[in-house]
Amino acid sequence: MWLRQVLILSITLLIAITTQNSFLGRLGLPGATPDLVLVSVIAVALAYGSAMGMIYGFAAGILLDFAPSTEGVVGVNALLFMAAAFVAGRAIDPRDRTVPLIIALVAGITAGVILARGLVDSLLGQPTVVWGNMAGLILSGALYSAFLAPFVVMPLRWVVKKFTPEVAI
Amino acid sequence: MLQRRARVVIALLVVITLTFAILDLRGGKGPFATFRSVVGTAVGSLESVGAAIFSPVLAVGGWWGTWGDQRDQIAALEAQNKALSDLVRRSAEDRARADALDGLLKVAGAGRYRITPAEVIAVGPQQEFSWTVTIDIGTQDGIERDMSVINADGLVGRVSAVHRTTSTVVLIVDPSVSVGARIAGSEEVGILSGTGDQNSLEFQMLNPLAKVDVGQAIVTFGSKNGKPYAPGIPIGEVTEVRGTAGQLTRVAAIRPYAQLSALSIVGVVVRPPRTDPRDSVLPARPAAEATAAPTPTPTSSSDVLSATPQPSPKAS
Repeated sequence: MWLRQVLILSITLLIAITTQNSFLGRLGLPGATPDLVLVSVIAVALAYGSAMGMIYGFAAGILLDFAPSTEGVVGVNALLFMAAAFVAGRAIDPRDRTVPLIIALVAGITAGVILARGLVDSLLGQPTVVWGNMAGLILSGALYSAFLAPFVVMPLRWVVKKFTPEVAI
Repeated sequence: MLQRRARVVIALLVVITLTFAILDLRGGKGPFATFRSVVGTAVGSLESVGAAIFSPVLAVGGWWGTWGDQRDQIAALEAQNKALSDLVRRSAEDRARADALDGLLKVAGAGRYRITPAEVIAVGPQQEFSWTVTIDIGTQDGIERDMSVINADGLVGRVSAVHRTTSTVVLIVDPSVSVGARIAGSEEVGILSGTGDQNSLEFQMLNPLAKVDVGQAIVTFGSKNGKPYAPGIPIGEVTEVRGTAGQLTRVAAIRPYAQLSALSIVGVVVRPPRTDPRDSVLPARPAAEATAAPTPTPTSSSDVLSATPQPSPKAS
């Protein structure tokens, strides 16, 4: 059971990071890069609950922080993803979850994470934050995440229920 | 709520994260250099695999993305092409103008005329049976009535009316014009008049016994003070002689040197030379004619050769 869970999460994480860095980032879409890793963090939190979501978020954040093509302070992404997983796992009661609600949740959390990342980065003295672009980044990021949400959350939930039905929510 | 064990794990993770952040913020290479390079290598190789997988998809996206760029590029190149071909055409025009001015300067230098260059800006209507053109200089450039107008080939006409910035030139082919002219290399004079045909003038010789041959050049005789015609300006050459020697009037048809239907750059002779340049302004004869010289009359050939020194004995 544990092994299956770890396997599912590892594969999810690898696919998410690879797809985000090698594909979504290179699409050159206007505004923010679609944050597939964040969406996958939320999807895991929705499927396994806050605690497992936060562990997954930690792993994803640390990996992302150490991976090439990110130059932020190590740990910022991990912290933000953990917070996102915490909120996602507890925001909506599992019995009330509907697709539009989940999409709205993903968009809202993405907007919050982008804003929080800007705040934390400027608090830590990173000179790369451009506040003039913030509104556009938040809007486009939330939009992309909302678009990605059904394609990530639903399949993951299906996989989780299929292979690890004991721990699925 | 979260289970106790989960809470401990999460608290531990948060602490680890914060520790990482603080260690990283200390700056320098930091303790993560090796870790970063290990993860970087792993994720980097993963990303290159991903890149290989996604490249065809991205290429399609890139094709669509560059669609607009290419259209812009085509527009930019077209504009550039237009500008460049414009430039080429204008430079050819400029060269033609420069050549015309050059020829004009040569003529003016040979005859020691002081000229003011001008450009033909309008041509009078043919249906009025007068051959006139308008040039772009006038009184403010020192132009006066009855000044001679020449171009690089020869006489064009004379100024018939002057305005502030433009002048009207009546061409020598105008039927109302008559010019005192002389056969080059001789003292035979006559009156040249226009026929209304741009390729033909009529030359009436005053001496009915004068010897004239086809191919001989005609230059202006010159008027008092160089008005309306300065002396020595080439006009044209004899193409036909009508009537026999001794007839009351003999007429020669003259083809003007200047191409009067296609005038662009002309020069107004604002001051004629102090002495008659005689035949020195005439264009050099083509080599073929010069070598096949036995047939022409002795007067013409010898005079063409000794044309230049004519004024100097008078001056000294």
